[in-house]
Amino acid sequence: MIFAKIIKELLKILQTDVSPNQVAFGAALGVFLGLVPGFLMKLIFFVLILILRVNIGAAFVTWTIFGILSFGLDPLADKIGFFVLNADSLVPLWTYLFNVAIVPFTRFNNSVVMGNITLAILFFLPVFFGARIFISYYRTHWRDKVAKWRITKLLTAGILSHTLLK
Amino acid sequence: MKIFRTAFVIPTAIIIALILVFFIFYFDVYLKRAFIFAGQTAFGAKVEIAAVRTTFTKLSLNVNSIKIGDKNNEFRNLLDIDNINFKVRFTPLLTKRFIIDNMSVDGLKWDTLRKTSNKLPPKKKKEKKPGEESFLDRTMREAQKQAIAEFNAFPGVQRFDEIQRQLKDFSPQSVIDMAGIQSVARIQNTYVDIMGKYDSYVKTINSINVQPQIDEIKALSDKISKTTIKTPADITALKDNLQALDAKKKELEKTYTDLRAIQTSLAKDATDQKNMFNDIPGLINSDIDAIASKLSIPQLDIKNISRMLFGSIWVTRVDTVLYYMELIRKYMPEKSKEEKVKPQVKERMKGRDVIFPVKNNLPSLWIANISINGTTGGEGKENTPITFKGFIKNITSNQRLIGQNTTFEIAGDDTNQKISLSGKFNRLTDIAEDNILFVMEGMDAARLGIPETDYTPSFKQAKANLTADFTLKGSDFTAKAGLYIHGLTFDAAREFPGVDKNISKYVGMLWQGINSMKVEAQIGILKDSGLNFALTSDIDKILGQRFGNILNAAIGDVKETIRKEINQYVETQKKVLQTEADKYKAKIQSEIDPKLKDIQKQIDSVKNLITQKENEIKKQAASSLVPSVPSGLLKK
Repeated sequence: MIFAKIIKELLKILQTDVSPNQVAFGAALGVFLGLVPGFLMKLIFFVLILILRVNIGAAFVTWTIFGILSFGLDPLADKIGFFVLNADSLVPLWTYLFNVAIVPFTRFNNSVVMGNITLAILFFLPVFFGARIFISYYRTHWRDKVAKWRITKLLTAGILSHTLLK
Repeated sequence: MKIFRTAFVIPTAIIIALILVFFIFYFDVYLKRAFIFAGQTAFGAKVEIAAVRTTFTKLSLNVNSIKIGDKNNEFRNLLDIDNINFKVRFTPLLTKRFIIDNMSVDGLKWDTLRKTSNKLPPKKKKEKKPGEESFLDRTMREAQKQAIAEFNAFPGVQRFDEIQRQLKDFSPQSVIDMAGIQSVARIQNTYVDIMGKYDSYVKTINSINVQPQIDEIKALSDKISKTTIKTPADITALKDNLQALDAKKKELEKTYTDLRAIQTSLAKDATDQKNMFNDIPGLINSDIDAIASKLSIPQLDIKNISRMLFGSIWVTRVDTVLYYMELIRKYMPEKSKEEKVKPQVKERMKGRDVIFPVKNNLPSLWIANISINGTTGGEGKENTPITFKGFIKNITSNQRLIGQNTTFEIAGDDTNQKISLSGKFNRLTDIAEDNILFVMEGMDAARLGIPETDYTPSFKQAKANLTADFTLKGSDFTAKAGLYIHGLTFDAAREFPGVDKNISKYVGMLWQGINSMKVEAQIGILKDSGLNFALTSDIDKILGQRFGNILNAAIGDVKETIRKEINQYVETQKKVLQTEADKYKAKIQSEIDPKLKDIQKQIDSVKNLITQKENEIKKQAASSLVPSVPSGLLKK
């Protein structure tokens, strides 16, 4: 069912005229939600997505995708995070942040958290630009064709999709 | 293009409202569950909390009625607290630091009775591998094993049974070989000597044939008596006869002297005989000692009495204190100076937390002051309760940051009892040092849990003063305690069912007048020298002396029995032999006396005759001027 939901959300984004930048930005922020563990971190990015005029649907799509990916990426994130946290040049920064109010509650000093933040930062721009290029290309070449597909009609039709996704 | 979404306000307001609703209505419930879960994990038994109330505006927390079960006692609470109240500082909380300036713990009690079981559902226990066992765990296990072994090895005052059995079953006849007794042998030998002497006297008497001598003298005397001097030849003949008579008289006198000598010897022997037995009492004593030494009276290792009474309790108490000290170590670990400047690495299931140095000199946890009050009483406790109050200062995750040790001091005092608990947990030095000092005065000794036996005094009415000092420095643990118990009672008149009355007597003698005792105990669990266990008590010395006296008394009883037996035997032997000797002596005497009488008579008669005849010769010589009478004869 989750796949149907993702596909429905994706079709909704792709088939409408939502700004590609909003979609791309939303997708890029969704990466953080998907990768970075911890309630406070997720809350921060979730609020950010709500505050900023970005496409929430795109954020949910990438949140889901990267959330699934994160299980496999955790060991790598642990190594990256540990390296970053112990990098001599960055230790003063982390020490400073560790002493700043509320920040320690983000658990940024955890290797997996920091590793996933790093990975999310690394994925941010590729996801942003990739999403924007993909949307532009899609809307130019595929949108009309896809709109004619029966599955698209089924998923985008309010009643049926509502029934299907219930 | 607008960057921000205005439509966000409503969802945000909803989210905040939901969060507020959660904190107002549900947070306390979840916090209570979290406390219970954490408590149960730490103490391994049920934890019950009546209510948790948080006030976010004041950042205060109030916890009511906390009962922490004792995992070693299903229906007892380890701790029972009426109320805990504290406020958290706001600013440090934002940097994940939990700073409490003042905390109050009211109505603290321990070991209170529970109505329901405190057991938790069985949990899969992680077994420790041999290598994982700490030095303290291992040595404490050894100490417990040793204490149990010593307790089991305690011979008990039941040894009296053994002593009593030996004394009761003692039969002098079975032990005494009268032939081997010196005193009796001495009497027998003495009489053998005496009888030997008497035999020689009899032989001598028998060898002396008095009658022929008397007969000869009589015949010669008759002859001389009938001699009349008419001629000089008669004088010569008379003279010869007188000379012969004189010679015979001398022989008879010699016989008389010999017999008199025997008589004198007999008298002397009788006197000697009395003195011969002067050393008999000495010999009897030697005989008694020799026989008594054949009794193998068991020796009681008195030092075990204090070990039996206090060894197990001491180890159990130390074990309990050590358990809590280890718990403190677990939650308040050692920190080196380097830790202050270097990031620490803590392995976790989900990643690793890198702890960075804290700059504003505040540790992640610091409870500056906890004021405590409570009572030693509580539900299910029979002792007279003492109310106490005190404080704990500076419970912290890092003492170096605040530059102060964790200390505590709790004291209670009523007119009869005094209790004081103080301690210091030092993490400022490179080697962690924890110290706990416990002082209790006037407490009911029964609360110590000293085992009551039929052979030891009752501790029910006794009072105890206890000082115990526990130190854990690095991995080296030392504990010492001084205990003074007074008001001990021992009912010497009571009877032990199925036990001989004499045992009651001995046990009574053992404890009579002892109404106090001092015990000093030490345990050292040192990395270099291993386990040292010492327990000494003045009672050991006192009981040791008394036990010696009892043994002497018991042996004295036996000696008395032996003495009676030997004296009786010696006296009988003496009497029998004396009678025999007296008879023999009387017989000798009866033989000697008539002979002496006859001899004396004959000698006297001969003397008279010789005198008479000499006078006659003198007269005759004077009248006829016969000058040839022997001068020696005339003199006589």
